[in-house]
Amino acid sequence: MTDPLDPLFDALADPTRRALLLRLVRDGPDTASHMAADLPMTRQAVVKHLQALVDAGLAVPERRGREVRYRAVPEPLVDAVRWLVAAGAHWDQRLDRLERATRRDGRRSAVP
Amino acid sequence: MERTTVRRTAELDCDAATLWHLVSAAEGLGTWLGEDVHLDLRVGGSGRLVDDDGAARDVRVTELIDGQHLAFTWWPAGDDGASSDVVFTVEETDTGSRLVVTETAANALGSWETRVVSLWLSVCSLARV
Repeated sequence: MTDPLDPLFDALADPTRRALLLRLVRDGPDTASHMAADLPMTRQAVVKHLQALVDAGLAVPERRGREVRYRAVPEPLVDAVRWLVAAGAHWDQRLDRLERATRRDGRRSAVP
Repeated sequence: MERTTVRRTAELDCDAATLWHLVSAAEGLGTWLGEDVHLDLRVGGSGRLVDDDGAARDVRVTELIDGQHLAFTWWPAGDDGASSDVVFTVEETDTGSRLVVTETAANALGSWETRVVSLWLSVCSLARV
């Protein structure tokens, strides 16, 4: 049985595809021609990489007239990363308070 | 399988018994975990905690090993679909004690997303190099 996550891992295993995905996330939707202009590769090569991102569910092609713009779809990732960052920051604050509480109380019982 | 878990460790000067009191008694928890903590500290016991930002969370104790281990589920008051599981583990060390905290998102993030997240984070960190 094929793992449905295989295209995802394949897509992210390649540094070029990671760079293209990050650029779509950061700079918004873009065409293969425009992206290829800044990169040491042909438009055809960029299209192939973008198609791998599409197959993995990480990007969607949107046709506008004669051109196709690719848009990143990181919503599930963004939600999860946001949770991780917020929960981590919260625990850092709480543990700072705990450290202060134990220092103040020294060897005595924490609550008089 | 990788789950969406936050893990923190704090090395503390106090002895393990003092630390246990701080993490397992409502008045101890009130000094650091949140502003206002009411909790019935036994397995199945429930309570409410008001965070320092004023947000209330409902809490239910799921595991308790006296002096060592406390696990509870908590969720924003009125929204039990966004619950997460928290585990406190207290250990004695040469210099005092150690608290290990983990918080794991229960339902909000599916397994597909959580597996992607670890990849995504490595993508982000690679990009920063």
